[in-house]
Amino acid sequence: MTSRVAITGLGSLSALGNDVSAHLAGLRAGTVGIGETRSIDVSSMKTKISAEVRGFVPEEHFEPRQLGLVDRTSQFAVVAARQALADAGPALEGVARHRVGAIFAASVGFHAVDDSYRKLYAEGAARPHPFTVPRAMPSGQVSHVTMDLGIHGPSFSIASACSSAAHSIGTAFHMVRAGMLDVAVAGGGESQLTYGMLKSWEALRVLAPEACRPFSKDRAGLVIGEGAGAVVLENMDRAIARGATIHAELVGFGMSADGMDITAPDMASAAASMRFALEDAGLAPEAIGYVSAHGTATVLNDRTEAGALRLVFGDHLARLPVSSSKSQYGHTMNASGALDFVTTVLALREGFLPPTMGFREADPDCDLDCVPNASRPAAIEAAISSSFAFGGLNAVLAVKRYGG
Amino acid sequence: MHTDDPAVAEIVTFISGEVGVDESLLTPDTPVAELGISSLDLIETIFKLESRFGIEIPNDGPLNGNDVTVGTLVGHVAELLAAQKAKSA
Repeated sequence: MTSRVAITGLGSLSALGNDVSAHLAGLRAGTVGIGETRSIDVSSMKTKISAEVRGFVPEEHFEPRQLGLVDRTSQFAVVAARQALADAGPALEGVARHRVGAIFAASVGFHAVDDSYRKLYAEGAARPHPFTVPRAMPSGQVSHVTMDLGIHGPSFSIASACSSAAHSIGTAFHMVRAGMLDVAVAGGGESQLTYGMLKSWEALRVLAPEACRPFSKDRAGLVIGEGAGAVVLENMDRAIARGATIHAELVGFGMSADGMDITAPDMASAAASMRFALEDAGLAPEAIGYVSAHGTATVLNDRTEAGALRLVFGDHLARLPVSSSKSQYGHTMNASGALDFVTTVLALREGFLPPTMGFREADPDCDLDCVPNASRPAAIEAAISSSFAFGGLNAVLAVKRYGG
Repeated sequence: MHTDDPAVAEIVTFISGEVGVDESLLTPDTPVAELGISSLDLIETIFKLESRFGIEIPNDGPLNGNDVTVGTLVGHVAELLAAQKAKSA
């Protein structure tokens, strides 16, 4: 006996804004949150742009004593999780302690590492900050979410690079569907906007110099973003019984591993994960009305993803809008699966197609309707959100509009 | 890759050693991918060339792409080396 799973809460912080309504407004308006990096000195870098969360004041969200223990990455995750739970209303009321869980992306606290190592190596400090370890540990964010929201059931973090948050939401979905949990809070936060990590990404030669242009022939790579996305997933019967607002229904989760290469993606495996998500959801390819693409804007990812979409959707692809919101809020890495999922749920609920901004020139290798440069109204019944991570770890979530 | 230019010969020898491909296979028109050098291998090789020769190979130069040939790679490094020499002369 499996349960249906309702999405009853949404939370987000991104370069589009620091809550879900700002995120939605930005998606609709085609806002591009990418600009010259302000939070760190990029004068020695070739790549000067990123998609920063702006106007985030940690002191507005955390007590001074807490802040020394919570990395920027975890701060984002906690704030997004709070938003999602506030949005869901009294979702935790009356639920047994062991039947509420939290699953979040495993994200290193890079700010803690960067700050402490700079002091240690460059400034010759005798010892790093004593909270470097708790701030840096990848499970920090989910621990802080449980402390903050009062969650005492199954909780852990998942690492699968840029699919981490999608795997987290998908795993939480399976646990609610299987009847193990009544409520789950899931998602992921990430901030790799440190001097060391930006230099490291630059060294990998995948960063775009001036814009993120997914599926455009002149695309030149990805733009690093930061942020967090979170959702509350809930047993459908329970959500209906307590009169919760149901944003959409989570209906399928597909996973695959390329087993091929630590950075290059594999078309057949990406296609397999999309197919598994559709099978899990009991949806025919023709039932899908929108795809939130991984769409990193590297030459290789977008070409491979377009090919994988062709394998899964065949002729239906000609009528299937596919867009990449990374053109608006950058590639938020471990958070991207959650932010893209929030984007997808908003598209379904509000009836519009988020755009691919920065699109300039059609690429025969990416023959898609990528909703270029402006959002469009569209009544979508079902959609998928794809994450294809470095190292070939793929996670695809399928959602349906909730009709009441 | 036959050459009378000692700088080019040095670059070729270095690449050959780094990627473990016999020098005789490093002909100008051969795409590096055909030598079993993946895009990730190429990025590492570029990094090692930068360190070895004290040059900076730009991200948006001729080596940015998936169809780089041995000739493009060696030629670009040789040009950067020559430019550096001219500058310090």
